[in-house]
Parts: sequence; structure tokens; C-alpha cells
Amino acid sequence: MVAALTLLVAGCAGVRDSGTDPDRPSIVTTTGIIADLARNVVGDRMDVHSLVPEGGDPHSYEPSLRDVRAVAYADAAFSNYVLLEAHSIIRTLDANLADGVPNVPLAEAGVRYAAEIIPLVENISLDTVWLGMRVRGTGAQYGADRTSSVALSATDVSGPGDMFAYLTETFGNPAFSVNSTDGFDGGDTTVLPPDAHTHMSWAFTRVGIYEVTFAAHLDLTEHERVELGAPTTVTFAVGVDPHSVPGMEHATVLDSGHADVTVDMDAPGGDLYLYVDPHGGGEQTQEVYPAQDVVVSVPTRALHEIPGDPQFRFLGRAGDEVYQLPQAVLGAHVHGEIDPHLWQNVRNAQAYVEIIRDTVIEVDPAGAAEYRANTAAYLLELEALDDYVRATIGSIPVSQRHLVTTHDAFGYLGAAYGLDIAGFVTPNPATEPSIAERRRLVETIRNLRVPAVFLEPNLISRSSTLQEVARELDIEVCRIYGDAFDADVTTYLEMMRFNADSLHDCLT
Amino acid sequence: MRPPNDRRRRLALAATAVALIVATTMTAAAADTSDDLDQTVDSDEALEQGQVAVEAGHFDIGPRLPDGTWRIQIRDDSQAPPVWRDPQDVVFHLLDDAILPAPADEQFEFIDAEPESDVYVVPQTQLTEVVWVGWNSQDPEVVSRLSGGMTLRFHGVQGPGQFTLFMQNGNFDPAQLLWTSDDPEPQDIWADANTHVHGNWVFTEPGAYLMDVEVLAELADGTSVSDRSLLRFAVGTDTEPEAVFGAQWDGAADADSTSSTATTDPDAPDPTSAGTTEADTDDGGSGPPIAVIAGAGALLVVAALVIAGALRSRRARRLAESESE
Repeated sequence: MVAALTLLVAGCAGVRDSGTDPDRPSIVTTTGIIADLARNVVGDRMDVHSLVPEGGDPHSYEPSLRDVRAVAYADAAFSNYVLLEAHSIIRTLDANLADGVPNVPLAEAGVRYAAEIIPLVENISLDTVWLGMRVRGTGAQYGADRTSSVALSATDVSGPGDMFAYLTETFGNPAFSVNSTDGFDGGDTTVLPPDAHTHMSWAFTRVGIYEVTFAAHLDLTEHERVELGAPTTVTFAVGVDPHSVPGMEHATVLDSGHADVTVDMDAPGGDLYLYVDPHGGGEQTQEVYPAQDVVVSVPTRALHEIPGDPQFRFLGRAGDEVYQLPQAVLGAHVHGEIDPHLWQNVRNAQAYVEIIRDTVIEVDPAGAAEYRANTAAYLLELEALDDYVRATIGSIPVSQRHLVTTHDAFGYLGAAYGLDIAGFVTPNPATEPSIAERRRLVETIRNLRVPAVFLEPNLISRSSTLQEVARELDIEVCRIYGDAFDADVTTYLEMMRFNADSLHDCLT
Repeated sequence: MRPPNDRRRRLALAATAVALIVATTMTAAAADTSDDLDQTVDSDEALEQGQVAVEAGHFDIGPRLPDGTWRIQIRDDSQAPPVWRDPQDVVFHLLDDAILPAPADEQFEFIDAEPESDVYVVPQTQLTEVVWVGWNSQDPEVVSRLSGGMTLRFHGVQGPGQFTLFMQNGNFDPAQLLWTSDDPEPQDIWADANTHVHGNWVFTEPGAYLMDVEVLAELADGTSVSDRSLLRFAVGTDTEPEAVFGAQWDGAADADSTSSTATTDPDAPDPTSAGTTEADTDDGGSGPPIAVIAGAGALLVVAALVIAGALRSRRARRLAESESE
């Protein structure tokens, strides 16, 4: 294998561009960011060629003939993930690499190097906390069994608008659990057997803070009723910043995973609380949160227009706006694809660097010591970078840590460093925003009082919407780097430092 | 507001109907099973032998790794503690309680039934009188070995009516169609590791249905695994589960339990891997089992028949509509 590769390299040498050392091995990468990571591993021992040029957009770049030649003579190729690079780039690699040359998609390979992967959100309106109702425990202390009924009722709703909780049945009929428009005479009730739960949609007609009070009881028989716990109030931040609810500034914000408004029958006297699984890990990871310590976030990405279907007339007129947590059960990511922008978390860049190191050692074992030493030094720099980004973003007050950008490229930055991805114009930079998307963007900025939005330099020509909206609302447009460098920012280290500083300076 | 509607009241009052199991032993342990989606799956849950026809209670299709071999099994949560069963041992029996009137709404155009006609439904949210079938990727051994999640692949169905599986997301989007017998191509559903999902299963006619499904995944160590099996549904009270146990995939040997590990091609299972009822592998393991090839051929035939049937009845519907104008 090694001998064959050496022969291949030697065989290629005669037809290289003049000016490159014919004995030097070379690698190709799809993007400039990967090329920079690779250069820090291979040093001067290899040539590194990036197919997408500086400032180019990997989503749309078309490879040139020169690129094809670089690929044909490469000793290894590194791409990111099919959902990032244009298909023509991936095809150029697949079709032109010599036999036996490693062709490494870093995001996929990263799984085995402890990269932290985020599933691709295919439907942003499902990317919220999923809230249900639950009965915990057997109720054995009351003589309940699996045939008993537990009723969870809303007894009061206060807030700027109306509130509904309902289940969408198989053929689309809403089955109500809570309807705040017609009083609370005991009908706002969800009935469950012991140790069961149900998902539902939660709709709010106006932006603002809502308080919903719940009570629960057990029906042992038609005439025998046991109250379970004291009435308990749950707070919802609808559209507004969930970290600045008066009196609840230090509450836990529920904005992802699953949570249930829960009655615990096995607690002495019964207890009502939120049973929370912040990361969707299942019952093993579910935790008890007292309701007074929690704010349920209903973000502006959950803003919808009420559809024309008469079944939804209870929410308001068709075309009116409503904030709604979904009754989702399958998830925002149906196809198992991953968000491709892994490097926005520095720890993932470290995984990329380790993959590149191990691959080039395979291709050029004679350089192993050099590659290892280069990589060890660079990993230390990345470690320091990770600390810097975390500390810098961490110093922005949490109620101001809202990122609004042109497209959905910063999920990893948000997840790794505690930044709320409040909104973007469209998920993909190649698509024009709809009227509803534009309206949602404006409302996000207004509701959260965002002082600045962030624009990628390589998308300036295609992001008129973000700039128009910023002008209308008289807020700043700051720079952030996503997929590519430019003349000012030419390395990964510079890029991540710049992004952290830009976020800090523009949001505080 | 108004009192809860009849359906929801039924959910509560008919809870006595939980776990009507034919031909199985019930353990009398504490009733701590649940119909919730955030269930706990224990690693030491037993594999139960023997055929059961199930009319109510909670069941999930999901992978397990007995002796390190990736297998589709069915988790029977209708009893406490839950057990797992081999697919060929289970018939899901939808009684006439599962009948709903077919919807007229255009978002359900994918259901090939006249509005208001009877269709048989396993709903996304549990009705205690209807068997509740979902899928999970929650076996602890599976969770610890998956690289990210698994794919549940539908290869086709054999039965008297049309079959569809869809989700309601409760976000105003139209129903999300996941599987349909109208499409002869394999259809995939992704499930992240350690998740549990229920959808709406709709059968347009009563009778015996065999469903050809595969669960495949990449493990964290880079190996690809898959297993393929038939699920059995007896739709309608009058459909005898015994007949469904005996039903054969038309024109071919039973494709049940064609199993494979460490292969990336689901249509070319590794014949050397264990399969409980694997048919003739007298080719010495050098190629795919004959049963699988034959099964695939039969599948195409069945799919073609299904499509032809769908076209016929849709044409009939269009004719009826134009006459009424």
C-alpha cells in the first residue's frame, strides 16, 4: 500500500505544475477553512490546495479545470459533508481522485473522533421545547390502578392574549385540553391513566408573558375524588426574552428537549411540577423542576399564520398570527442528516485536525513525527481558542445573547458557547425569504430588542433582506464568518476570535 | 370550556381494556408500564417465545443486539415487566374499534378511501381499545453502540387494501406521510438513538396484511448492520389472527427473518448470519439467500397490483365526482 502510494506520487511528479516540488505530496480540501486546518498539520511537507477559493461559497462553487488537475494528483482529499459543499465539488473529488487515495468527509469521520454532532433541523418550527402533560407514579397509596383516571386541569390563565392547548388527532381534529376564552369551569382538563403522558400543541395569540395555573385530582370512582397537590403556576415567555421575565431572571429556561406539566401521585399528598428532559435522552435523564423555577420559552421561530382550515378558526382568523409549541413526536430531523457547520465549535475543529493528522500519516509515514509535532502544537492553540471564545461570549449578559444571521450556519456556535440562535432570514442562503419568514425575522428582532444582526462577508451581495430589515429597525449590521474567510480574516484562529469579539462588541 | 370530547373521555373510561393478550402468560407484577414516549427500556428485558395475537396495549418495533447480532424485535409493553418478541410471533389485531371515517380534507389525499368510508387506524396517540404500535431505538445495548440513529425502511406490504403511515406534528403543517403502499420504492424513517415514536397507521380494507420492514444503522465502530422481517396485521374483528400467522408472502418462500450484519447493501443480506427461519441457503453462503431474491420479485408484483388497485379506485372516484357535478 505504502509502496504503491509512493509510486503514484513519483509517477505524478513529472506532470506537476512547474514551481512545485515534484517530490512533495499534496492534499486537496474543499474549503479554505479545512485547508487552513490541514496546513497546520502538514506544515511545509505537503502542498495544500483548496477547491473553493478565498471568499467563495462552498454551497455553490463550481470546480475549475485546474481544480480537477489538483484532485487527480492529490494524495489525500478532505471534504466536510455532502450538505455543505455543492454536489459538483463532491463529484469532482469522487470522479478524479486516483485509486486508493483517501477521500475523507470530515463531519462523518468526526463521529469516531468524539466530534459533537448536531442533527440538521429540517423544520425550524419544530425546534422548540416539546411540552406535554404527564401523570407520574402508580397512585397505589390511594388504591389507584391502571384503570384509574387522573385529571390535570387548567384553572386560570393570565396573559396578554388567549391560550389553547390541544391535541391534533389522526385526521386533523383538534381535541382541546385548555381553552382560555370560555372560562375555567372544570372543562379545561386532560384525563390520563396513571403513569402515562401525552403530547400537545400550545398556542398563544399575543406576544408577552403568560401564567397558567394547573390543578390535579384522581378519580377513584365516580364519587370518590382525591386532590393531588396544590394548584401550581407555570410561566411562559411568548416571543419575548425568556431570561428577563420580571422576578424570574434566574429561572431555568426550557427551550429544547421534552418537558411535561406533571402530577406526581406518589409524592406525599401529590405534587405538581415540570418533568424535564433537556436533551431528549429519555426517561433516564428526566429531572424534576419546581414550576416556580422554570420559564417555558415559546420563541418567535414558533410564530405561525393561522391556516385557512376551518378547524383552526378557534385560534383566530386565517392569516392572523399565533405563537405555538408543536405537538411534535418525530422530530425536527426526519432524515438523519447533520448540520454541516461543525467547525463553529472549536472542539470539532480539534477532531478534524486529528483526522487529518492520522490520514496524512497513513499517506506519508516518513513524515509522521513532523505531523504529530505540528498537530500537538496546533491543538494547544485550539484549546486556548476554545477558552477564549467561551469566555468572550460568556461575558455577554444571557438576556442579550441572541444571534440573528442570514442563514442557519451557527447552531454549533450556539450550542457550544451558550448563544441563542434567535433567528435567520432563511435556513439556506440560496433561497429567497418568504413574506412570512421576513415578518418572523422582524418580530424576532423587535421582541428580543436585538441591537445588532450579523452578516457573513461572502453573502453581502445576496443578503439584501437582512440589511433592509436592519435599516428599517435602525439596528447595527455586524460581521460574522461562517463558511469562508476573506482578505481580513485568513485563518481559522482569526475567524473564531473575530466572531467572538464581534458578538461581544455588538451585543453589549 | 366545553367538557372533553367523547374520544378523550373514552380514553379514560375504557382504560380497563388495556392488555388483551391472547395466548400469553401475564405476569402479575406492579403495573408500571406506560404509554408515554419517554419510556425506560431495561437491558435485561426477556425475549418471550410463543405466538401472540395482540388487540390492545403498547408495542414498539425496534432493534436489539442479542449475542451481538442486530435483530428486529417487538417490545411488548402491554405487560409488566415488558418483554421482547420475534416479529414472526406477533400478530397485531385491529378490532373494529379501530374504525374511523376516512377524512375528506385534501391533505389526506394520500389515503385511498372515499370520505366517510371505514378505515382502520392505529392512532399516533393511544386509544386504550386499539393496539398501539410505534418504534423505538431505546434498547440500552443498541443506544450504546449506535453512531447516531437508525433507519426504519419500509419495503412493501401485502394485503387487501392500501396502507399508509403518517405523523401529525401539530404545527399547522399538513400530515407528514412517511410510508405508503402506493410507492414501490423503499421508504425510510430516521430515528435518533434513544428515541420513541408513534405514528398513524391506516389500512383501507379489513383483512390480513404482511409488511416487509428493515431496520438498519451504522454503529459507532463503523460497521453497518441491518435486519429485515415481516410484520403481521390482522385488520378487522373478523380477520382471524391464526390465518395471518399462516400467511405467506405471495409467490415465494417466507421472507421472514432474512438477516444481515456488516453489510451496506440491504438487498444483499449476508446469508451466514443467524436467521431463525431462514430458507434455503444451500448455495453455501456465496450469495444472497434464494428466499430474499424471490421475495424481492414478489414485492414488485405486489406493488404493481397495489398501484393498479389504487388507480382503479381513484378513477372510480373521479368518475363519481364528475357525475355528481
